[in-house]
Amino acid sequence: MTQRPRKRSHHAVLALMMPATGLLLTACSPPEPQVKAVVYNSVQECQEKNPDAKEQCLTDYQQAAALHPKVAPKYQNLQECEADFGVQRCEIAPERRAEGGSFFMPMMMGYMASQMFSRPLMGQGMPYASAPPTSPRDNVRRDDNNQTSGFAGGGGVSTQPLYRSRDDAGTFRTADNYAVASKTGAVSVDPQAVSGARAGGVRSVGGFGSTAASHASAGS
Amino acid sequence: MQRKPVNERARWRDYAESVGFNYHTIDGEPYWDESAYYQFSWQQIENELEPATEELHEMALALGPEILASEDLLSQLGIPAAYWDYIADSWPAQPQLYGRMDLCYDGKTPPKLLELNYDTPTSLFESSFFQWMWLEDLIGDGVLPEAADQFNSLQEKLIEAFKLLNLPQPFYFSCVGDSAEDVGNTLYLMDCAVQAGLGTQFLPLEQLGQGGGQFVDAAGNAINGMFKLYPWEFMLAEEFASVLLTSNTRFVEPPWKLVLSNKGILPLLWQKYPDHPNLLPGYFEDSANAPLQKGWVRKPLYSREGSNVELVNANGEKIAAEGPYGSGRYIRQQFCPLPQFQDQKRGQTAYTLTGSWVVGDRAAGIGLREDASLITTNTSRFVPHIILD
Repeated sequence: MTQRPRKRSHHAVLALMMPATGLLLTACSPPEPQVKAVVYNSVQECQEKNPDAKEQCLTDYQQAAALHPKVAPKYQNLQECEADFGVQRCEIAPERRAEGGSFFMPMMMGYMASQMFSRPLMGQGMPYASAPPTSPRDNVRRDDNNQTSGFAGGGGVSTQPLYRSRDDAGTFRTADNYAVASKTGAVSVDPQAVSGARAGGVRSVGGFGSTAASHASAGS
Repeated sequence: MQRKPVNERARWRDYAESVGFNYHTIDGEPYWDESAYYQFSWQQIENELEPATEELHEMALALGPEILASEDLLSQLGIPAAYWDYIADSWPAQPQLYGRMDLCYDGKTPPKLLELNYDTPTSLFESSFFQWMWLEDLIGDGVLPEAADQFNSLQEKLIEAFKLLNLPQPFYFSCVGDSAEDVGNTLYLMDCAVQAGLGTQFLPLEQLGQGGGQFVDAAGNAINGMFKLYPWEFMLAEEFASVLLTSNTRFVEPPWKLVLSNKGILPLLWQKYPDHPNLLPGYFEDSANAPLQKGWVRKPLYSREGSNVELVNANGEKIAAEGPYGSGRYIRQQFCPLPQFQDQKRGQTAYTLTGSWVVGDRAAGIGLREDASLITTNTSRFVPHIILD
């Protein structure tokens, strides 16, 4: 009689749910890399510090300014915006509310550019480039392209607008509320944290999950 | 198919908790029960359960495009018209990860399909990893012979499936955070995804946000791909439903699973494949007032874990399970008596349901649930099994 094929897995191990692994949810995150970037509060500041790169300063500033209305957090009314960003620190956003009226957003208080003055890595239509999707196969092969061509591995950050919140006005923050620096000049940032894939619309949370309240489990 | 008592492993509960299987006991009652096991013959797996599972899966998949192309059928299944295109667009571009079909199988007659749990199937961790480890331990301890096997290639097939699905990264895993069972199942799938080489991130469903028509995580990053252990029919009825239409998020399970996890698939399968040996007669309930006939079961189009199911057995006795799903439409299915086994430990009868898993498009193993009632619910005990001639 021929050997019957085995009907169970040959191996079964756990990678995350290992015994004595206390922090299941963080176990999958590798250490965050840091990349260099520069923060300016104005195009003038950039041009004063980089007299040989005035054109580049202008390009970066314009790029950040163009992103600003797309990525800035939006508010239903001026009061809510000023509560977060301070009095006279908000402006009308270009998009209109469906029911009429305006959205409000914080003013751009500065911008961040790649220290390398490398070229922007995002397309025109997309607010920011995020790390390129990596297929599982690429992951196994450790394709060199992934180390160099991607946003995260390319040594730069997306040029982007920065904001200052009312309760922490000394700190420059991205549209995602990631604290970048307390002063202008060179900074090290986590490229993932400032990749800013967020779209900058009116944000809300928790729109799924309500039906589960009447069920012990959502499974079957 | 036999039920055999066996000694429990020493300190298995400590081990269960160390790997996050915290729902081994539910409300003080055992959920994972290793005081017994079921023994199948090779032939029962090789010639019955495995081929029946793959054939039923193929039959269900063949119905998918017919339903998605028919407004009448989509209406009959109670699927909101606003999402017909959204659901249809996911087919067949987004293949499934996994599903579980519940079978009525006594080891002698062909398995009969009771229902497809094709959207949010649970009991995965215990079917896959914990059941596998139980057999390894019992063989290692000399309690079971080396020749003992198990119909359970779930973990291998899940890892392989994650490699083949070509999912966006980081790929998010989400469920409702206060259900230990759901979190356990979700983390286990995330574990398999990590072993497949995917970058992953856990996100409690309550923290899922939307901005500018895209789903975002708590830090505001766009979510391009997400596993959700949360029913599509709930999602379509909740506040974020409209965001689905503008978002780029690829969901696992894909939206078309809503069609196959609907109990309406059961009468539709019977219409398409009448008298198939693995199907039970079924029809859409025309009038909720028509009395349930002897030997028939009544199930809501959408229900989970046996909730709101009622049946009248061959003797005319009525058995019903309460639950929160009682408001929609119903189907009726011929009653298939679950096989009965003697539970010596408890001195009662055990009715046993065979849950048969499909990963990718292949049969991947079984998990058995037993209960003192004919209706299997979310607290029915999970009992491990072996294959041994």
